[in-house]
Amino acid sequence: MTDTQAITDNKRWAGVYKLLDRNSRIHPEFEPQEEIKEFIKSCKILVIGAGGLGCEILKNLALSGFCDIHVIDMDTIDVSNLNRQFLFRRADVGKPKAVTAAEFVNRRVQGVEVTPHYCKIQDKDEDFYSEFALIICGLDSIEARRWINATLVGMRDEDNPDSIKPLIDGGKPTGFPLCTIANTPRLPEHCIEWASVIEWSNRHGDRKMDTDDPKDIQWLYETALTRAEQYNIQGVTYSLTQGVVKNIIPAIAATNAIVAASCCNEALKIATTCAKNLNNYMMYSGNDSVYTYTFEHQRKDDCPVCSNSSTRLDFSGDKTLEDFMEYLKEKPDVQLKKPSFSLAGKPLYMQAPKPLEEAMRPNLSKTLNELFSSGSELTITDSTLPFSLQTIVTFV
Amino acid sequence: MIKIWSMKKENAGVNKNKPKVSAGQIRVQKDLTELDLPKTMKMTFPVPEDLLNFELDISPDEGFYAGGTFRFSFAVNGNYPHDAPSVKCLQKIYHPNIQADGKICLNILREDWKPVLTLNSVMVGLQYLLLEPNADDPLNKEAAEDLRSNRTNFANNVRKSINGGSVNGVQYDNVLSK
Amino acid sequence: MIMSSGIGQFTVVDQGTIAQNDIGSNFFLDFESLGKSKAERACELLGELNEDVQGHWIAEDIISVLNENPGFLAQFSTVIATDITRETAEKIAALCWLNGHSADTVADNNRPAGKKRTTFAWVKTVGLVGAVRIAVPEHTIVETHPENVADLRIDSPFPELAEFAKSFNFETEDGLEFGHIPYVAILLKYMEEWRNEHGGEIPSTYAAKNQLKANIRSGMRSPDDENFEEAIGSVLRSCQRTAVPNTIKELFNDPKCENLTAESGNFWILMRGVRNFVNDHSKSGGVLPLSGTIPDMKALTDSYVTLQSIYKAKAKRDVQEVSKIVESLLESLGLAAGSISLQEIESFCKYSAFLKVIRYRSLEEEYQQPKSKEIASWLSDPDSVFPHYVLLRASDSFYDDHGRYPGEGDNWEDDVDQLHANMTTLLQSWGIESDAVSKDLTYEICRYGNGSIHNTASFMGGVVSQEVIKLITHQYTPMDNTFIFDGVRSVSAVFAV
Repeated sequence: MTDTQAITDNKRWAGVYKLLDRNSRIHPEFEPQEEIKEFIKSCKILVIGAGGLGCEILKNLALSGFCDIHVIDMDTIDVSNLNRQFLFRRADVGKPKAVTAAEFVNRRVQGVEVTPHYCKIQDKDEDFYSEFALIICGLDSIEARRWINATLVGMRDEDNPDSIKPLIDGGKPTGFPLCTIANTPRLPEHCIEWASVIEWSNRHGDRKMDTDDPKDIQWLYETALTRAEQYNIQGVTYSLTQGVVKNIIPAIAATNAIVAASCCNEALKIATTCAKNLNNYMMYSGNDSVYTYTFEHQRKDDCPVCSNSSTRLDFSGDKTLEDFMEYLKEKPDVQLKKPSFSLAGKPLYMQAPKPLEEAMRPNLSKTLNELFSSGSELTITDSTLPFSLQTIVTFV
Repeated sequence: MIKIWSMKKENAGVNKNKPKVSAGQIRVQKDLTELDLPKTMKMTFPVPEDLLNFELDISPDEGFYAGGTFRFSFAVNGNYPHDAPSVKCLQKIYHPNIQADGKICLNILREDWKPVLTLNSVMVGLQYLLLEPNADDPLNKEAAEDLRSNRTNFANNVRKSINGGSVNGVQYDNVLSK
Repeated sequence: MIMSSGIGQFTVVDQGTIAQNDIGSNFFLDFESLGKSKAERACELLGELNEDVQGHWIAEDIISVLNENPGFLAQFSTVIATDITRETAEKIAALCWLNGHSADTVADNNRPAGKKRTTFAWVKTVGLVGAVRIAVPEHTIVETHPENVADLRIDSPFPELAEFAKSFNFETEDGLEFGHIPYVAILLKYMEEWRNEHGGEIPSTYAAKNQLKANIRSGMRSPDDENFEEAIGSVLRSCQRTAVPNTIKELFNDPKCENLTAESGNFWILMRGVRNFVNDHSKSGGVLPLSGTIPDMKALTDSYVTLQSIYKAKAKRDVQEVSKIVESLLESLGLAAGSISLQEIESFCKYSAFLKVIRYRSLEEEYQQPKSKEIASWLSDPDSVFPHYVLLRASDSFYDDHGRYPGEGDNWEDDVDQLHANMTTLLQSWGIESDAVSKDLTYEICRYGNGSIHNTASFMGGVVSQEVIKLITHQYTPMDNTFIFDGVRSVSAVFAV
């Protein structure tokens, strides 16, 4: 896009550039440098999800000066998305969300390149994720959020700061996606929502549903049940129907904008260091007045995802694995009971089950020199440890 | 001087010098050493260095299948514990929830799998399946029908099948405990 | 987001033409828009979002529009102002305020133009800081969406309810039946026994309530009787005497409820209707109409539905009674019969314990009658975001002095002392020490240099849309009256300034 009216970044991003060009007294660690502007233009940033939240995030990043943005999403556009997902138009129905969203932003914001990936997050490997400086998650699915979190933590390499990938995770409690309710119900709840959201107005027109009227609940229950039978779904009951319709979360229109803006505000702060970043959790609620709450989520000591901290140990390479094991049992800050050892996924010694223990026992009398080289990282598990101990052993 | 991440765009990838251990491998190591195997179960590791692939023999001491020894293969992928382990029965047996090709219908291996479950939970689940076959979730429909309609007849069929006999015209593997 | 929330029409008023920094911070302007009218282009590109919304634009300065046509704002339910000076804001706010003295409930929005109230919302963003101010004389809410509207009347069961409780046989041999006696029936039984032994009184002390719990527990056959556990879990709440909440009593005594006229909004006519209902029943306790809602509980479907129907039927009778009172009120006011729909009466009765009225302070009051005491207390908390309110106000004074905002030029650091002086003056006018706000924060505001950061704008846009939707729909409780957001710490708070 060349044009005589060439857009200059200094003018276009004037607001952001003031932050980057000027020092701060509340955050004196920040030193303005031209490289920071180059960095936000050139760094790769990944947005996971191109739904309601994802669309907002893409827009915000593009207008924050990030120019190399990737988006990954496995879904196609459904008619029911058009209302809230503002990058999609009627003519786009059926097309991949990632592709359509990328095209829209590229068209709208000059100089920004959004690259779409129309696939599942699980289809991409660590090599793919390791390319990004920052990852923002705009997903509703808890499973997918957990997966990406574990993957990124697993990629961490103490010796390589580039391997540390900040993840900004935005989410909201939702009802079920309308397309699921309409097309692919799986749960009894989907059938009930279908009855209350879609069928109710078809049958009853403008009459407002009274969730306290047993007759209305009964109608919903029967309607949901009929649908459940069509799809062979078990579990629609009267009391579940009641629970679902009374808890329908009103689609609070602006929640996406608020959550996405918060995510991107953090992204800009992390990428430029122009202000302190959020430590580490902020929530928003708009039911009664406006309420936000910011606090530090504590790391859980036995978190199965991130507690595999690496430690370093010095030990003689001439001593045996059994000596090493005894040492770990007695070392006061470790005090293991029955440790098992492996190296890069290959077991060195396993306390159980029996056939493995027998097969590995000869290793106990071997010296560490014979088993691995100095500086190797062992994975040690033990019943006393909530998860595992990653230990780099240096021979002395 | 504040620290920004390195700006090199090409080669931003993780340094590959060091073999990385997947979270799955670590979990398997921990799961294995914490197994609480009853005397009716025995594990074998065809390749001891490979913790991700192994076999399990179950010899129930009560129920329809008492007297037989049933062998299952376990294959755990790198995504464990987000993915359930993949488990198959290595013999052709007469069981409502186990197909002739070894496919098993057990909820925690599929829709009800959760990362907090362990290999031990799966093994206990398999043992339970042999103690209490379930006619409601059939893979072998004839066996399920037999179980539903006449438990005595079903018990006889199981006896026959684990001796290597035929049931409903299908020949099954001899899985009698040695 | 306001585009997708069901509004019908909007009008953009802006005299400006599109410059590069507008494109950089507004997604609804593209680079082909350079040099075009902001109002026209934004209207055009916004129109793509929702075909059902009709957009209008006026490429004129709002002040000249108002000079030409002082009644211009009366056609709008809401005016959202951004990027305006305090002087302009005061003018718009005052005009909106004048339009705000009528129209109290949703139904009133159907009144002819000119009778509509106009809500004023003013959004400011400066760098990583944002503020929203809402002003409308009075906002009434029926559907506040409380978490729990159950109103079980365990302390004062109506006859049908008492009869229902007696229909259960606690001596039944059938374990399934016993384990599914609805907890409401269990509570009613044990409460009645209690009253018989205690001269008709319900437990009032903590010890007495615990004794009632113990009585219920002794009736359990097995620890698995969840219905008994539910009953025990509800003892504390059920021992609170059913009464009209104080907040509602205050509304009963409000002059607007006291002195109805033909101009009164539906909300106040209904309030008076409910007040009369309560007074009519003063001999039997004088309680609000029944909500008719019961919580989920362990029960067989049949008995649950029966119980639900009993509460529902009583709620319906109460509605009919209120409805009669309302009809006679309408008649005495000379208003058409049926001009308040049954549906409106129903929902008013259902939520009658949770009704809310917010009376905002006007901008004029904020400026002329500052709440100095509250301000001092807001500033005393070291983590408060209130200093940003003070700084934004001081920036307005800075603008009055210099015709530009602090930090806009290249020599931005030179503005720090002047802005700080503006702030000191402001603080002193409230009788507060000038060191109440750190100079480092003054410096930070100058650093932002009145720059627009899209994330801040988008966040504040989300917040203001949300609040405006609540105000238009009369659903949920909007904030009162100023929301301050600090994007550096990602914290926010609401202050009634």
